[in-house]
Amino acid sequence: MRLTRRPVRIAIAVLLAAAAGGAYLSARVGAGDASPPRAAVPLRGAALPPTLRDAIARAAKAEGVDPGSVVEAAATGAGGDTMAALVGAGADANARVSFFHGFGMTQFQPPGRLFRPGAEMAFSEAYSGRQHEPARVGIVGAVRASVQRVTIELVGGRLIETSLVPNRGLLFFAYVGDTPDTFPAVVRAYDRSGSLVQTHEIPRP
Amino acid sequence: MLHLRSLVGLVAAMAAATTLLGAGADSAEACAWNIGCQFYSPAEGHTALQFTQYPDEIVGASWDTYDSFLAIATTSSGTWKDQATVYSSPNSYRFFIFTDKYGCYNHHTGTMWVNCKHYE
Repeated sequence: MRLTRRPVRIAIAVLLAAAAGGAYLSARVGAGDASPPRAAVPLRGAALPPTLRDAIARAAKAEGVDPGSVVEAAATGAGGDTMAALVGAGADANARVSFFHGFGMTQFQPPGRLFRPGAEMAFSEAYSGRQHEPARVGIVGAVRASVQRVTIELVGGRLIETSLVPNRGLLFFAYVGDTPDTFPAVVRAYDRSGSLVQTHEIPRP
Repeated sequence: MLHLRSLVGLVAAMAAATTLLGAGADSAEACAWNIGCQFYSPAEGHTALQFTQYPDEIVGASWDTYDSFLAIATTSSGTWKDQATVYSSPNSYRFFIFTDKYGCYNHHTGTMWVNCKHYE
């Protein structure tokens, strides 16, 4: 069949270009890359095994956070391998944040304790596998609203631009690398003027 | 004069007793933890067997010198399974996984004091 009408050819060209772009983006955010952010979703709707959802709710309750207020933000990975920020409300209705790594989670904390004095970024790293030979390295973090972008330099030298997910006045990110070259190495936060405001080197225990 | 000497002696005795009690209280509080309350050299860790088969096991610590410690979960032989950095002393980490031992590890290049405990 010959495409004789010019608008049809143009439309097909546009579709092909879009498909190529989509394929490129899909490859770029594959294993070892910053996942596209999953917007903050209520814990009850999070794509987690029920046992993990129950465990998070149990932890929230034990730490003075209303389980019904907890959302999963900036989740990356799937099922039991999910890493994400967990954001809820304390008894004072203010934010409480925990960093979730699939196998465990940090204590829910208010921003005043989550961030070290003067810091713009807070985080927790996770490692799975044998000592000195991890199979998986990830980081979950939060930045203050004054931060505009966060980059992650990988062990292999590649630079990842994270997607920041807002919730309760903070911004959250998560990244997981499944191969040594894609393990995170350095995280940098920049403010709205483009100035570097914090650098963090990922420990390698 | 006798009363004055007695009073001075009483004050001195009270001061000494307060010092002793204070030191004792600090030590008891500092080391009322059930995993390795001590200086941790670089790459030194201490673990304890999990309490039960209940899935939540919490590792808590207070520490100095550095901004973080590493919460670790290992097999009975000490092989690492999952680990996470914990910042802002004192603080804790809740493990959901089933394994044999949980504890604290110094992943820094210098010695640090760690008071480590686990509970559920």
